[in-house]
Amino acid sequence: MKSYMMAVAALALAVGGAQAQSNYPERPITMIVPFAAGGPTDVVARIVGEHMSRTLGQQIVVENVAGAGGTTGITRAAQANADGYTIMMGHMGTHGAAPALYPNLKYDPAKDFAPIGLAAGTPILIVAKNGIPAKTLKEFNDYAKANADKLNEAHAGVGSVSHTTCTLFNSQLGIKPNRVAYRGTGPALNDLVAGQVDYACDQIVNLVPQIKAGTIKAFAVATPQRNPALPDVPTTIEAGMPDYQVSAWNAIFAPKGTPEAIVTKLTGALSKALDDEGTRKRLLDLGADIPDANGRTPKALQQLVESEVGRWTPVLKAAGITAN
Amino acid sequence: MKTPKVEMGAIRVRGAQNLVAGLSLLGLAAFAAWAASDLPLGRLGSMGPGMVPYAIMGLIALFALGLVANGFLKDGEGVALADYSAVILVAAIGVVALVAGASLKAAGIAQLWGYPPSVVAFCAVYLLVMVWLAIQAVRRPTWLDRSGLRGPIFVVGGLLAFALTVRTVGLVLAGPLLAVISGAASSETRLKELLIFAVAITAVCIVMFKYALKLPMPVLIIPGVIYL
Amino acid sequence: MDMLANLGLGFSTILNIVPVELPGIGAVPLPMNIILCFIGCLVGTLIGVLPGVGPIATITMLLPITFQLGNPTGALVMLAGIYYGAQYGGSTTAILVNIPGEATSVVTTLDGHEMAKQGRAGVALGISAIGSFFAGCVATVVIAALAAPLTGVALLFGPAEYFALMVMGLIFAVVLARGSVAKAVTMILVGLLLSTIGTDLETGQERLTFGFAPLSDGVDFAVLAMGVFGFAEVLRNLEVSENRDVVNKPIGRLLPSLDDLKASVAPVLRGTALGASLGILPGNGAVLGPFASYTLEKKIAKDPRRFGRGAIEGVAGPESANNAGAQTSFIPLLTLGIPPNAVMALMVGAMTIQGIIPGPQVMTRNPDLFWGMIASMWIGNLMLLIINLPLIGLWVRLLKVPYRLMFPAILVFSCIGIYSVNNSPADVVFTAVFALFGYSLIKLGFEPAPMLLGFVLGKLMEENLRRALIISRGDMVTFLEKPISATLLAIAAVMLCLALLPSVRKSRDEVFTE
Repeated sequence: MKSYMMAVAALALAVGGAQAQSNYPERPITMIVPFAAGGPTDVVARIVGEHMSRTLGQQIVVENVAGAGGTTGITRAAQANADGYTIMMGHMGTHGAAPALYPNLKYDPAKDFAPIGLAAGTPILIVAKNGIPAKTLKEFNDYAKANADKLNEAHAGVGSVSHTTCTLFNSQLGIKPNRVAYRGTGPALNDLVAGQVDYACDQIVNLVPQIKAGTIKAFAVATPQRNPALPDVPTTIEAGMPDYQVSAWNAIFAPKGTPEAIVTKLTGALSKALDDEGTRKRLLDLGADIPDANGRTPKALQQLVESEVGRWTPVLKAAGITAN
Repeated sequence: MKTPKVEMGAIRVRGAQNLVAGLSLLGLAAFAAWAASDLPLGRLGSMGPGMVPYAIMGLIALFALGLVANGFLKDGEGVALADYSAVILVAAIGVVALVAGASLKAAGIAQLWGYPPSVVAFCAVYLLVMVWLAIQAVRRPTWLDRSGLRGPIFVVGGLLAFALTVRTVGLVLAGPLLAVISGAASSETRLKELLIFAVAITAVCIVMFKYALKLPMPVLIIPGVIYL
Repeated sequence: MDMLANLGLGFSTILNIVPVELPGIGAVPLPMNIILCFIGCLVGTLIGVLPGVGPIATITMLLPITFQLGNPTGALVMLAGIYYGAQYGGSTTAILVNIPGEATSVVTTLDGHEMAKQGRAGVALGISAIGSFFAGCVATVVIAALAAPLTGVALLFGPAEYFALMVMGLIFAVVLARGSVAKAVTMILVGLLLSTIGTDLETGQERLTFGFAPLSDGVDFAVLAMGVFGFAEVLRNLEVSENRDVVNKPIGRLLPSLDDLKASVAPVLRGTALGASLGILPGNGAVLGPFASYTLEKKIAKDPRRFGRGAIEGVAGPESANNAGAQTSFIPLLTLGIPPNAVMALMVGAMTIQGIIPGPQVMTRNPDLFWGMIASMWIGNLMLLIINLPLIGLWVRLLKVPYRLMFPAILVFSCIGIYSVNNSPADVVFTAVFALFGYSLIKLGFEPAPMLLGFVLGKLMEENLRRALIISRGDMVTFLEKPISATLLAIAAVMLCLALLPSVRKSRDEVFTE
């Protein structure tokens, strides 16, 4: 009987909920992650989402909607009600490279969203098989130019982080290697360790254990500062390629038109999560960068999206890559 | 009983099943070739996206021709219209829907209730067909059972109903709808029993998936009123 | 005796008793890891037994619940339990309702479902549980003793070798055929064609998608299998009301008899060996295990015609191979830190969220986790046996539900399962399309099993072919230069001849007798 009364009460609350926006959130929030459970974006979403749930007093339920390089899930999330109960974890691909890769994209990363804030970035690392004689980025550059017709680069499929970031790397170096596509980072890494392919660019988290074990070697990390997980690996600035600064960032967005008050509340909860000791440690273990207070605002995220779209579009167009 | 060998001047179909199978596969290969006509072949050192599909289509066509030849040369199983009536009917509805969708689009209607017009047209025609078949189930049950339409049309109808309602209304409707519509596929179904059963298994599923395993699955959505 | 010491460490990790705060009772000492392993196996079995929901789908659905556990070993032990449970549950549906949840249980449908139709469902389920348990025990020892030395094997297989292996796998598919070889080959080709649907990996161009967004990632295995096997079977059953029901037959034995066991010993041993060795390979080599085992059993059987008609060897061998491969595919993950297939990639996700990044050093840096997981594999297999032998009675009794209620139930459970994998209604529509497709194939005298194998191997084959040729700059000789790929291709050629010979001979006989 008691539970029945509670159900009636809940129903009444839900009916009244439409006008009571100030009490947000009153029911669980769905966070759409546009990739399968267990992937790097999913991991970041769950780590951050868990602490945000505690701040908001309502569960953040992760819904994995994978497909088409993440654009399937983001398209669905962009069309959801802008009531703050559907948010999404976007990333460098879905909100940076996608407009160049998918000409039929149904959303505009810069216009169709209410940015909440940047959650984390994972730096990109340039690695090569042990069989390559080069020891530094400079030597690799010379080696790549001298052996341009023999060079094989491994990536995790068109549109993946390893693919887009390496496209930029190749164009900045001015080399055109044969690009070998793999279904995911795992198989690509396998062939890199086995020496079937020569080099790759990928997120640091996948590579640290291999570098520490000496099965592959790292030339540079594409961030201004060295990464605590690999203190011996120089930055691209130190290694003489200062323009190559890339990171696979993850950020939370809401659909366009989400009320200001709700956005502020979510941004606050995200920022609080990023200040939490436990959450920070789990993200840092992944090799992630955590944005400082200035980098967490909706405005900063909006600028990041605009600059990323501006950066990737010409690079990918020039390389003649589209996903349709 | 031995069928005589091919006689001079008269080509006879001896294995109609193989002949139809061969022709269908030829159709499939041709359809795929049309759909893939814009894919570049590339060269061996860097194959284009078209090379492997084209090679496979070629081989399929080869084997299909073999089956066609086999249908003329060797005795085999026959065919009955009832075996293919449902597929033909669904394909026909698809064509009607595509035409209707194209003309609606030409009339300036790009979307109906958030779906492309051809999808809406397909569902509408399919619904009409199901209603008509349901009437036949009462009026001419033996004809319906023999037509080969009953099983496939109602099962597929149930699946479509589930797909349309699961995200928009939720499991509370989608589950029983699927069970009841597809239930009409069998002549042994008893409506009352099925209704109780449908509600019961849906309830079990909701408790198990939504509440025990906490999967993100809509149970009941009434826009602006309730979201479970 | 390093291995014994290590296994000792593993078992003590698993059997570790920790005080757990229970509400209202206070701290109670409990063997938490064992409990988690049990929960994992049970939940995995229950979800995996849903029609069409195999290990990948189950793990995708259940992965998040392990994220909430604070202890990495416990989380991974539970996840491994879910994996074995789902694997076993998938075989259960393959036997009972003819719906394979994943590629490796396709073969189980061939003879397992036939056995069920003959009222021997209990025997099929029983031999599958016993064979799996035995294979699991052997595979655990293989991992414990040989994981480190075998590490290099995964690295020997590059694109060229892998392509050759896939070619060999396709030849198995020909042997799977119950009827005409030409029709089986055609079905393999159709499977290959279906596998090319979706975004091209190398160029990013969409192939055969008709600009339809839900197709851009290709056709999902579960969707295809559910349509052409499960739903097509429902449609076929609906039209023959007399003998479709397993129901009308007496339940029969619940467990294998001594004769059944005797007939299964050798297939189980051979299946275990095949499955365990193929499982070590990168890029989902485990998928070939059951097919290889079935092919082998059919080839060496005194009367190959019994296969496809309920031969117990056709269940015992492949099921053992399946489980052995499932376990040895942990080797590349645990020793190299490289996931060989989709399930292991999910494991990587689970490990990273627990703060353990898999890599070559896991073995030395987290020995308790590493060996604890290996010990949990054995315990998980034991639990599966304990959970499943009593459940067999329940599953078999489910078949007693009259078909008029059974098929709506199959449809509802399948749809919810398919929907929840990607939260996508489009997947449900695709199963409907494939149901009609599969139904027509049956009517045209084709068999769907070779098509599914073609579909599974197709992507791997094309991708590796193109990779190998990119690396060799278009030189076909690369496949013959490398000793492993040359050997595999030679085996494939011999097997093809063996497979075609009887039919060639038969048609020649026909010509002569006419």
